[in-house]
Amino acid sequence: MPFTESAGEHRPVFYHPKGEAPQLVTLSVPEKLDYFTRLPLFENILEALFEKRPVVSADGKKQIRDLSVRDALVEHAEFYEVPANTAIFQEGSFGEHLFIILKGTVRTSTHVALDNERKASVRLEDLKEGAFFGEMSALSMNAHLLTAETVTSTFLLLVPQFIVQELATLQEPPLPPLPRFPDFRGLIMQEYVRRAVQTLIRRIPMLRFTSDSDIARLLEKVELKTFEAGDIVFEEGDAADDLYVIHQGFIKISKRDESKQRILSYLSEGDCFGETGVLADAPRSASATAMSRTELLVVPGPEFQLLVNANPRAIQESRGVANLRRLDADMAQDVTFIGARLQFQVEVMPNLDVLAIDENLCVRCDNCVKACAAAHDDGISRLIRKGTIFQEMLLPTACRFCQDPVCLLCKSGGIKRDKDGDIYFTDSCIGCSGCAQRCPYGNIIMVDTEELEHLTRPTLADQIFRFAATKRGEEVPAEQRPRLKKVPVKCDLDKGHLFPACVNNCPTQAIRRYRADELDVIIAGQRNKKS
Amino acid sequence: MRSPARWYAIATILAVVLTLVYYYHYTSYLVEPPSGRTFEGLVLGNLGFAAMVGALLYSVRRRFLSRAMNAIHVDPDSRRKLKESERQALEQLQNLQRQVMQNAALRISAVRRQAQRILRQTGMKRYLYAQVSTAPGGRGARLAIGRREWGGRLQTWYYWHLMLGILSILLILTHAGFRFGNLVAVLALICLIGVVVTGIWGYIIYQLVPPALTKVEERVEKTPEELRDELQEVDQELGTIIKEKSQTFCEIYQQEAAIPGVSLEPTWRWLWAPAEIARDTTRPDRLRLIVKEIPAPEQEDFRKMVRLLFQKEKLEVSLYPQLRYDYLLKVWLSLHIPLTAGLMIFSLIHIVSILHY
Repeated sequence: MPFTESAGEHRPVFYHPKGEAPQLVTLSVPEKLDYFTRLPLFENILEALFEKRPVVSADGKKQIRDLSVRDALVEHAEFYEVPANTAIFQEGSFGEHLFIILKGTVRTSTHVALDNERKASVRLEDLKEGAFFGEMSALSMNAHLLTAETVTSTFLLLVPQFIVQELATLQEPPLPPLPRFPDFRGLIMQEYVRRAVQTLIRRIPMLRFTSDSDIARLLEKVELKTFEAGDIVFEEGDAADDLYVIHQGFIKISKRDESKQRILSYLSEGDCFGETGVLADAPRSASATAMSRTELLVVPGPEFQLLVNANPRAIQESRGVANLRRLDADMAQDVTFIGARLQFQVEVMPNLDVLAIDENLCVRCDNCVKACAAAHDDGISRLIRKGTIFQEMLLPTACRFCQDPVCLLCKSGGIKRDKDGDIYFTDSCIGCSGCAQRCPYGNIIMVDTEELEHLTRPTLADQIFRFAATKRGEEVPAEQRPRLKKVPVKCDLDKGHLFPACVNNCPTQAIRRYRADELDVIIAGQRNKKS
Repeated sequence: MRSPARWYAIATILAVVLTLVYYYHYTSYLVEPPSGRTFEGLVLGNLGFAAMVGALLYSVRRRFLSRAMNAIHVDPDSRRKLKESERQALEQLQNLQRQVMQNAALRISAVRRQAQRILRQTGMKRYLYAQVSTAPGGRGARLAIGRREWGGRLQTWYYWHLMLGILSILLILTHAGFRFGNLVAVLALICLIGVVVTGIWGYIIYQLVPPALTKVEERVEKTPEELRDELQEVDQELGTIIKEKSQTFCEIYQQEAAIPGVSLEPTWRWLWAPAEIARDTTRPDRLRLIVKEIPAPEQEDFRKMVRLLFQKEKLEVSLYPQLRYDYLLKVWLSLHIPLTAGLMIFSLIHIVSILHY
């Protein structure tokens, strides 16, 4: 972990309703050490090696100096006197410190979403002298799941994130990786997991009325499970056994609609799902898939059910939540375009210029494909009449001249953008197909040069007397053939022509270039006509 | 079809005018109607033939996709030089364009002369155009620059093809005075009527089929090529399974593989066949009863075969409507084109015979 000189710049943003600011307290080194030595978190590690730092001595010689944990803390840890009722950090903000209470009381709380608009605050715990908090954000670099507020005037020690992460880090193999400071890591992780589980459980709407003792009993039975990107947590129709709360990552909730999956929602940290199936004792009404590496808190269904049933207010609320979820699912079946429109906006709107085919006008004559092939010397069509369909508009494989063209990430300078915004291949291309792989739309095609006909274009006479011509054109001399085994080809917008060849040669004018916002309006019109 | 209303308006106006002229001149005045022998008949005949040839030019334009005419058939070095000349010409023309936009006092003739000079000096007269016209509002000039196109947009040719086709039948019928002449003339007329009728059929197909095909493609989500590949794999697996099986097994396979009983090879029968084929819903019950007749060692393979047959049926049901609609989009051409060839041949023979005799 690099040693950051400017740790003092990453100060937390305290908020006090009356504007009372916390005071940064300057202490002498012995005073600081006195506090450090009394904290169980730093027991036995103060004298341990933190890092080796190169220093230049007065005589100009470079030396490597050992820096201990004590030195790092003395240099970078800060002490604050914080007035009562100050928000140290808010739920959803990002923190860069571990906070340790030297004196005073801090209350933690979180919010639970009752529906799309209403939220309720839930108290978690009151922390006293010697307790620490903020470790979740300091360790995982995710947003805070809770709010921390001073109840009384509080004296806090702030330890910068880089020190916390360095102390909690695992050593390099030999396997298994071992912690450098096992006691520190153990204490931090224990509290990390306990607090994460407690906060997440409390964020389940129906459990906010549950007593602390019941929550504590539930906590013993939950476990943290990790899912990789693409893993299915449960599928529509599965038996509903557990409910889940997202600790880290994203979950996609989707419902089957004939052969397609309709996305109902994307859930992130703190959201819970799967409770309706558990409460109704019914099969899963939707599928849940991990979008990224995701940590889920798995709450056993029977225990959860017991807690909910023990509380009348929780029962009432559970019915409301179940109805909401069912409504979402029904709406997804009837109003499917909303998701598709968002998908269109995400996929197409970043592009400047889109070639689109109106499928209701297209007579599938492939004249556009033939025209594209005829318009280029190599006889290869850049246009393939396949691609994503939005309502009745097909977006075929044709360069979209994106605002953010990831295909330009080329080490050899084989693909560039000119001043007019057009993207073209240069002579430096080495045929590595990196651009083709990077293009998110598959619009760059790698062509095997061996398979090209290696013929010049036939003359007009050849074309007219096609059936009588024995061969088309003449063979290109070997030195004029492409030197690479594979060459990339893509739509070049038929630059300079009034219309691109594909547009110019469509008998029904089904194919056209649109601006992305223009196309958005057309597709919205088609959707409205259908509904 | 996204055809501008003006095309329909022009065609309707022309048809109405011709009909009125014909009626007024020949019917109301009881004047002898035209025939191939009269001057009016000859004029109408020539116009009709010109309309037919004009309509035929659409297929010439479509076939020789524009680039065939202005393609640069040169070696890479010459092409590079031409590209450099083009770049220079465009730069100078764009400078001129800027001057034109900033100075409304510039005369059109002066701008035109300068633009032509640039094209001549850079050798780009054949490849670029620089069109000078009056700016909107009547003040100053406007300069449009671009690469020369050959032939214009195919859609424009298509509409002319439709209009000239319909016009030609009107002209030829009026040329003949709604009477039949010799055998060659009658054959030419029959071919003409056939061409126009198949053309109208094709036009209607182009209106009705694409939306229906789009709905099918949305539902199926796979292209016919992908479905055919999958079908081939399923057939290969079935071929492997039925090898060295009992007669009962093979007979059942033959029977079941024939369902849904629709050939996936294009055929004239598809013209009146239903748009989609239904799945056989009685099959599961039927096979449940049949499985008892299969010898015990073959039961496992029989179950695999049943799954594959279901898959095959599903693929065929998905593939059939797409193939049928594709066929409908193209089948009318198999009459339209030969009849056109016949029309041109008989028309030429008719014209030559008239001129000769």
